[in-house]
Amino acid sequence: MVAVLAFKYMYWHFVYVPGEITKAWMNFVWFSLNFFSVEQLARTYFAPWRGVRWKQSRGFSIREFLNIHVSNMISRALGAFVRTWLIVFGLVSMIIVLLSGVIIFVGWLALPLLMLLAIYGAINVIF
Amino acid sequence: MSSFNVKKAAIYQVISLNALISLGVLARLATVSLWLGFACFGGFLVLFVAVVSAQEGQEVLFGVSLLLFAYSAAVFALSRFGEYLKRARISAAYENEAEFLGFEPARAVLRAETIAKQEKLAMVSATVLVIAICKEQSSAIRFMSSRMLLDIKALEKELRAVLAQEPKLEEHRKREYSEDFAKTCATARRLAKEQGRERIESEDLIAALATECSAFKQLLIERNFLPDQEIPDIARWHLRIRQKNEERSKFWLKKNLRRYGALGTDWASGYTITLDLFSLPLTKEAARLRFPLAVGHEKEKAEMQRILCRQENNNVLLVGEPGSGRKRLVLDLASRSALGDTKSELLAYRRILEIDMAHLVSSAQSTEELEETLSRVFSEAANAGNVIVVIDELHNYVGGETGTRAEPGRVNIATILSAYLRLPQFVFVGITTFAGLHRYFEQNPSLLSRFGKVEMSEISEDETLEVLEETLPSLEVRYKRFVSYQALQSILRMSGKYIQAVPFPQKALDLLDEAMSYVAQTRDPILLPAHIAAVVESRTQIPVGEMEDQEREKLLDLETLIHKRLINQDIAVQEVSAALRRARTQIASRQGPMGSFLFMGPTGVGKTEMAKALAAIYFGSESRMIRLDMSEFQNLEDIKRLLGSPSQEGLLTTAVRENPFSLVLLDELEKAHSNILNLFLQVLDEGHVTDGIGRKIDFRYTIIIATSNAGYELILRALKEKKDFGALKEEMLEYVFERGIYRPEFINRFDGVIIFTPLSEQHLIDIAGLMLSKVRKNLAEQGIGFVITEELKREIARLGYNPMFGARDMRRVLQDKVENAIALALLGKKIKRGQNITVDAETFETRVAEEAS
Repeated sequence: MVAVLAFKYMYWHFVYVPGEITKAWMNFVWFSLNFFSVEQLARTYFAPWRGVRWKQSRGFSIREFLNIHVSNMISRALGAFVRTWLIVFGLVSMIIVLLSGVIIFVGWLALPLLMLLAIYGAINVIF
Repeated sequence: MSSFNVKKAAIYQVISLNALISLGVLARLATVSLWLGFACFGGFLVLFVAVVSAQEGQEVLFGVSLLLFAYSAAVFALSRFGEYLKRARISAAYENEAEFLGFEPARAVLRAETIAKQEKLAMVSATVLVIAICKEQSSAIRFMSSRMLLDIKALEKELRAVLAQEPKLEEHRKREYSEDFAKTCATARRLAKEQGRERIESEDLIAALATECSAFKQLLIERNFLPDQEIPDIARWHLRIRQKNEERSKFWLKKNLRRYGALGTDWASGYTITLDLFSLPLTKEAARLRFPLAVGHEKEKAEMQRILCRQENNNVLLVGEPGSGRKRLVLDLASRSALGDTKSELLAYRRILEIDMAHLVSSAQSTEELEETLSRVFSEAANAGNVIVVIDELHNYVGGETGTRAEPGRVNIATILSAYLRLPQFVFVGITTFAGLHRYFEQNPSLLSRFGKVEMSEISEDETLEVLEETLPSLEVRYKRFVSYQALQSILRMSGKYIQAVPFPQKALDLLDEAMSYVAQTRDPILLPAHIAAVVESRTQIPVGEMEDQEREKLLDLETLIHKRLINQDIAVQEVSAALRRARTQIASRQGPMGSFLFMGPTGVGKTEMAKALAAIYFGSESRMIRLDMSEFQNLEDIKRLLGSPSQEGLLTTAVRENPFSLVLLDELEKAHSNILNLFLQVLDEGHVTDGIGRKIDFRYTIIIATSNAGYELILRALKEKKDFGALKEEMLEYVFERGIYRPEFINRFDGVIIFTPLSEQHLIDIAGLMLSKVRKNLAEQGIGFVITEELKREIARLGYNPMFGARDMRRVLQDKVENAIALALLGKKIKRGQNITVDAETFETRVAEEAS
């Protein structure tokens, strides 16, 4: 039974759990992008800020034309500026998640070795 | 069960591992040692930074922290590995049936084997398994026994007594598994499979034992439980809680991560300043309630989302009775939208806002101002691009004359609303009732055409029970009282039986809340069925508790009780009593009313009196009788009066809706229009009918009695010719079929067709005696004795009998001859308190009697 259990442990530690860590890792990557709405903000990157836009009234006036277009451009620029911040936060958090994921993934695979090293180190340091 | 061996199953490895060191303890140890490790490492850092000289102390702390990290990592890995083994997938190729057992069931089986060995039993039976489960004290058995108010120790003691009767193991024989043990495992596996699980959990095993272990089943029945219905239900309840907790603990799942929401989703959407001022954010409400999802109504949920995603006419008109869960459905949508868990991406992360119409109407000083504000609100919603607008009880705002305030607080926004409903970017949900739909929307087809209609059906009793179970924890915390499963069942049964004006689940939820509030005012720590009965009694004025307790005795003794009020008609009384007993004990599978009878016979023979007697005995009062003179329904147009319409209440449907627990008397049925009789086909068959505004009216808790004089001539002739009454029923039925008065399929739907025979002279004398005894009772209350002579009874019977009208005139004769005479004597002070009087049978004059009878 010990041999069977040891085999099962190896499968669990080196195959099953890494698979689960990868799934959870991907979920956190998705979360970091979703929480900061990166995809949606990228899609609406140049959309006017809070939908504020001006429309041309009837008749043509160069002054009004310029006025409206400049105002709309400012609204869009403002929207893009604010969105940039959130997108950057989202991307930074995603990079942090990716790096943490790598550490956890490698750390888990190396855990048996790390435990042995810790015990060895502890014995050396204490005694 | 040759292929059943727990010790050869993979799960046995976990049990062995757990026997060495408990996996639960391991998990806790891992946490403790990790924190200790952190503390040591912190200590090492402090020493390292602050006291550089303390070289030795630093090294020890660093070493200890390293050791603790190694230890916590090992313990953590081991405990997680144990959990993995508990839930490892099962290969379908396994021959050993014990492979399908979960961790706790496998442990219970091993314990059962040990008990069987200790008791030297020939077989490991299902009874032993129940005892083992009781001993194991798994979370499932603890939860189930506490909700069911079961004393596990007492149960175990009784089961031990049963165990003593089981055969002992003979020498050189091998112990085997009994047949009921094998059946239990098979049933448990089936239950697990039905719920999409491959492993048998404790809940499955207990539910299976409730049906397969005869001793356990018997003990549950003795404690008033239905083993094959209620035990699986409580088991499912516990499993649902367990699965929910397990799911919530997995914080890394997408489903849980969604709960944190998303930032900046509305940055591309317009500002909604006026809309925000006059609306309630349902999305925030859903978040506050931790994203509640509605139980049941799957079809309606899918339909609603489908309509809202359409390119055009993406507006929903949610039609249903108040309390049917309309708002819950909208909250469900708000929850799903906030979690981004909708069927279509178009509905994800929407703001769902309910317009506060009362606030909006009261804020406006004039109709023009109201229209202007409303237009701004709708315009902002349309321009925002991420808003779904909801208006509750929309019918209150779309009727009457356009733009005027015909009634205080009532306005008509139909024109403005129609203009916006046309816009694809304006997404709208209107909530209304069936009455509102018929009365207002159907009168305005252009408005109605802008909507996709979603009709809410009433959820089932099982789904309602699930809603109650979900609501329970918050109410228990609020009122600091524990709710027994029996109380939940009572709520379900009594709200279904005695309250019909409100649909499920609301009536059950209201009753639960009211009962909790009631019990909180007492010192009782547990909500019991008696408390529910008390609340229902105060709400409906029906003596529920007493009736539920006495129903059994009443049914057993129905003949005697009816005969206290009704003379003769022995066969009729017997047939009604027997049919009612059959119906109430649910021997025959049926969905119709509790009982339905057709009383046939000449007038004045006690048909109506029998109905009154039944109402008084069975429903507690004669006032619980809904009486309809069917001669008033001779035309097809009268259907509206019977079933109701948007403009009028139905004489039958409204009465039954308001008093679902009552007797319905349909007098002179043969005079009703044949199409009206057809309506009763469904009532008698399925126990419900749809009223004129689309509501389902439940007749399952009514007794329906129809009286008919059709063919009474045959009875009179049979009496004259002294024919056999046994054959008369067939003859009468042939007669009514031949004449087309009733159709065979109509008659067949009654539980009994009962022929009332004319009264004999002796019966009439007895009826006179019964009537006179009522006069005696009234006089006795005034301290006056009344002696009823045989002559007086005979004379009343003689004068009161009419071959055409039976005993119907007897009441009038009694009034004219006896009651009038006594009244005159009382007013003329000829009678004094303490005296015994009698009425002369010849002159009908009052005189003082010699002695009381």
